[in-house]
Amino acid sequence: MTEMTSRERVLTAIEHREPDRIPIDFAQLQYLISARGPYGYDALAEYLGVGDPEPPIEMFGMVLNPDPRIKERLGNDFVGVQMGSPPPEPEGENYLRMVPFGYYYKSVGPYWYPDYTRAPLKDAKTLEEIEDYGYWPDPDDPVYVQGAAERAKDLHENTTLAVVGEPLLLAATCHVYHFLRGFEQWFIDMKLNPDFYHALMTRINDSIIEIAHNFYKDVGPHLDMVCANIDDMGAQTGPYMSNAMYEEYVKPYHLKYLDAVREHVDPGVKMFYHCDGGIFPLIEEYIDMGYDVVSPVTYHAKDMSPAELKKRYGQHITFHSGIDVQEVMAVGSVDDVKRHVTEVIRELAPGGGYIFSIEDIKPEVPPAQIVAAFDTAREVGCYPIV
Amino acid sequence: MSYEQLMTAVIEGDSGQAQLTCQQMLDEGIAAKDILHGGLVPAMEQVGQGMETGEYFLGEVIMAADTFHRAMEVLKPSFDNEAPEKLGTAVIGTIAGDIHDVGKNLVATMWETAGFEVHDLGIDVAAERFVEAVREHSPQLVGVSAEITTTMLGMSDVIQALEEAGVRDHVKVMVGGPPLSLEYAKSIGADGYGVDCFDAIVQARALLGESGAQS
Repeated sequence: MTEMTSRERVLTAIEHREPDRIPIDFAQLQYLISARGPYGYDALAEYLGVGDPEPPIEMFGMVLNPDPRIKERLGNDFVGVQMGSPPPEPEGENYLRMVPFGYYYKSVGPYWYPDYTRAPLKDAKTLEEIEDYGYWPDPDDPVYVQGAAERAKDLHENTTLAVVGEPLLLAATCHVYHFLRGFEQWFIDMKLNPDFYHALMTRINDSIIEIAHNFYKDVGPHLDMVCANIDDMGAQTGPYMSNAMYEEYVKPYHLKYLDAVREHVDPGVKMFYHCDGGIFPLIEEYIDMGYDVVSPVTYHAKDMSPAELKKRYGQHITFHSGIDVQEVMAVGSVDDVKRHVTEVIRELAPGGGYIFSIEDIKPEVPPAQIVAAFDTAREVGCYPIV
Repeated sequence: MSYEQLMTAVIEGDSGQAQLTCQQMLDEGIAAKDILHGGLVPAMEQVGQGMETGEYFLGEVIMAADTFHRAMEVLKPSFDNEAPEKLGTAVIGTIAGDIHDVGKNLVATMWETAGFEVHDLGIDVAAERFVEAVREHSPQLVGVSAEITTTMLGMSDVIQALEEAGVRDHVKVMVGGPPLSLEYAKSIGADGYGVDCFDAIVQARALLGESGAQS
């Protein structure tokens, strides 16, 4: 088959046709590699002989948008246009208070975690306390949009990469709720204090929607794809909630955000949803809402086997990643990685509807494993898949 | 007020109703331990079975566990006079370098429902802290939780620290968390592994015997 451009490859795959090879995302659509050692970004650059690598976008210890030489070497087909945000406020050595929303991130060894124990609104009881909270965003702050439209236009006109709009944690209504109230409290509020629950969800959602309008009105015309949601909805043991509960408590917010984005992009622009965990039954909802791509397909979570996913939903949605980061990419050998990547591609790639990537590789994973995974994807991922 | 009403309140995560029902049952002269074993514990067991069959999800389990805790607050003053039978003592914590606590909190609650006195050491717990807690509380059971494969690798440090402190033989060590498997648990010398918070009860009972460890 004639070689396609990256953009053609991505759009063909998402339209469930077979491109020349599977599209590859290296740290453009979601965090992939750790910023800090023992291995991580610098070790990967060194391993690939990329001297003096460009500083990537770093968030919570993970890397987005790494040096173009690394992306090209590993076959990447995407480029992200990230939404800006005000700088976090450091608190002591181990904490960052994030702006907007004012939740805390804690540094523990090489990791950054949201610290639910310091959820700033965990004791709030009234709607006034929500309104009086000091960390709501000013959607008109130019920091969110600065330079993004020019960058998107330039990338769309002067590269053949698939250009993706990336609001990062400004497309995560539920996560922000978890950070502000605590994860368990999210469920407890739904049940015991639904007025408060809906008021806070609405406040968060409306904030990010206003920012999205400001961002996408000028960026939207230059995009091929949008990271439209990064709310994880599943644990290892299955979805956080039933489809009925999702429809009542969460879906209206996700849909309202999605509709706001759609106002500013062509109908052909693809909607990407990053959603960890065992979410098998919820994928039906995501298809119904019009998401085009779902990731990362947590390999060991309940009911998330690539074969079953492809059989049940493969005609209707594109899968992204599906690679096991809990075992193979964490403690496997290079040969284990090659075998596993081959197996996943053979399950998910036939007929199109698959993008290769890996999510959230931990800092202890040596670069040889990562490079082996992406090299195998390019070898095995040429159509027809055999 | 009936046990059925109490069970329904717990299963539906209606903590206000559960507290009210507990109080009314106490006022009617029903013993706190009977309310615990006749209403709260069976309700949690039913939620566990529902999760296994796919009827209930994490959200329902969290709400039921919260309701259990709130109902226990009503019952606790009455336990001073008539302590419920104790299956044993447990300490539990999330491994060093890891601050995930949802699963660990649920296991702690489930062990309480099973009759353990649980000492929760919290998150990012160093191996030495587990040793200190074993010396302090003399538990029969130690639970170690990890969310991430790489923090999971530190679980063997806890077992080693217990060995070096000479207290390994005094306790059964159970491990759990998304990246774990029975094989991994065995490979690091743990005594047990729970697939989820409900399985953690089954395995703890199996390790200690139904009647509890009498060390």
